[in-house]
Amino acid sequence: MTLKVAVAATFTADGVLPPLRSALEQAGIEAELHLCPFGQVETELTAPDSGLARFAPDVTLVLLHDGAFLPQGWDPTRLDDVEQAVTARIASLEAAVAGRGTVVLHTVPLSRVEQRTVVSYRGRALLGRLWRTLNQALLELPERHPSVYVLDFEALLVDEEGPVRDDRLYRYAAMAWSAATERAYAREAAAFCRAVAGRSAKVLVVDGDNTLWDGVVGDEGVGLGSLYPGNAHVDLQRRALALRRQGVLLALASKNSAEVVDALLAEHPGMVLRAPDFVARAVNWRPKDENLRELAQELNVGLDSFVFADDSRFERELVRQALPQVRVVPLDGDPAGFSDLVLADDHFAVLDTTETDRSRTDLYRARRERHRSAAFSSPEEYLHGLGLVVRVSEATTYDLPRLVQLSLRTNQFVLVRGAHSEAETREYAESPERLLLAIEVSDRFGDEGVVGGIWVSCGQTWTIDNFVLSCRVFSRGVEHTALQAVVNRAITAGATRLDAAFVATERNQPAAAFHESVGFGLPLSPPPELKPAWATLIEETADV
Amino acid sequence: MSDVLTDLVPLVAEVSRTSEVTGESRFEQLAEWSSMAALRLLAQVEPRWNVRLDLRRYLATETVAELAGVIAELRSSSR
Repeated sequence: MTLKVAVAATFTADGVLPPLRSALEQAGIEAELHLCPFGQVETELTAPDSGLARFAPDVTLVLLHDGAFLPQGWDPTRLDDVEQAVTARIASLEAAVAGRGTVVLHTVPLSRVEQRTVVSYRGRALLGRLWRTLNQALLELPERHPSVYVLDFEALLVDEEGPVRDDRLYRYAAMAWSAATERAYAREAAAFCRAVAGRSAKVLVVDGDNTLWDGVVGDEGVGLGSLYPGNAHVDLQRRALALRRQGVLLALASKNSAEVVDALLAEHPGMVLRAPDFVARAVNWRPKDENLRELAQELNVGLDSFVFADDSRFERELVRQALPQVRVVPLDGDPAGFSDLVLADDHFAVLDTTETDRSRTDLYRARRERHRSAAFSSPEEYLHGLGLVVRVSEATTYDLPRLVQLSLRTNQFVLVRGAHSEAETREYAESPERLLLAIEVSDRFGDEGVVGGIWVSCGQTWTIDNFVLSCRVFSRGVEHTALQAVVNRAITAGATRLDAAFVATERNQPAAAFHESVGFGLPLSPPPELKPAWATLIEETADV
Repeated sequence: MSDVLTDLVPLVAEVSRTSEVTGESRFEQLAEWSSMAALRLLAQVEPRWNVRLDLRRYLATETVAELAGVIAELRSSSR
């Protein structure tokens, strides 16, 4: 899937393209880039026949500079006028970006020369406030426009060397960003595109000795306290916990005997992470690449969604060579830098987190449990005892973020990868000719919540434009049970046939198998029975 | 050929997307040359040799060898 990325800037942004292209390549994103003529952001976004509209981007990056907001020759003694001009420009930007698909804005740094133009400290404080109001207004846009995103670029630039603007380039070619600023932006934009493409990492596999804690637990004991270097390792644990709370699965890969590590996790007062924070613990003496491969299989998550962080060069090289898909974070040097090393490349950045993310670790652990309990009985017997309940209902506004997230995260059970943007998904929920269904699943191990969605176009023939199901739940009959709900609704609506789109990718074989097993376009008379006997279907029709 | 020129030639070739670049090459005659290409080259040259060029002088250089000379001169004066 090629991601179409457009750049629309208030200044000459040609220099952003080369670093953006290479940052995207590094992130493993195949992208097609388009640069709009500079200084025409609003026109490009709104005119139906603009180059931008014809390009039909998946993502539009809008690049802004201070000169786009400050009137030329602004009067430092009339900051009220400046404020008016700034407010007017934001209003025009807001009108232009609303409802244009995925648009990415950013907070804008104020160049030093502009700041120094005001000589009084009181006046500078006023200008500073005005400027922060501008950036705050930008940061508030996503609250009103669900497909607009804002990068807090001004905050990130604090860590960059050198000035934001090279005045030679600004005066000669209206280039408002120095090469370093362009690179910093390209890095952030590429990470965003990776999230849009659904390529965010889902699992952090982390080493124990000299990584999560100081020292070797089996030998001299561990250092985890408020003093350096123990506190650096404690901080890494805190960051990992923060990731876990936002839906990242943590796994421990440690060469130790299991009892020693179990005791540490249960008893050491300095540990931030405890056994339930890990979806899995591979504490053994086997090569780590084997552990990773097995873990990927058990969790049903692709290895390209794995990040592996280890202080040992040996382990890292082993994993890098055996499993090139895995992103390896080298925890070299001072442990005080470990937290930053894990987070710096933004592997885990996602568009949004939802309520499900908080309990994702528990859900996956329950799933592994099922895996194991399945081993003890015949599959049929096991499935009957599972108490599987599938609830299919029309998606509410509340479900939309989760469904969009699922359609981005899912690689295996998805009929058409990247079929619908958030705005398009919203249309399915609202249009009378379309239908957006949310699938919830529970069984005796627990409630999985919303695990899938179905995008349908109604008519004489109903067409499933997309069907997405989390890899946690397919291959238990959930997919056929949910399809039964679509069949029932189509029959009630008087449709005679059910069809379904399908586009093959490298990874969606499970969806291909499902598509084939059903045999679309399926005649709806006589009414097809698709639901397996062990599943219970609950259908909820919200507005009949 | 001076050290600077040896390293500058491939940079110019990359930026202008032509392989036939020598010290005698005139910028304005390179196939893909433009003011944007000139600025792309500047962005590579400055950190590579740790120099800062006066844009007027930079834009006035006509050949690759002449630019190499300007860079070498700036480097020696900064030492």
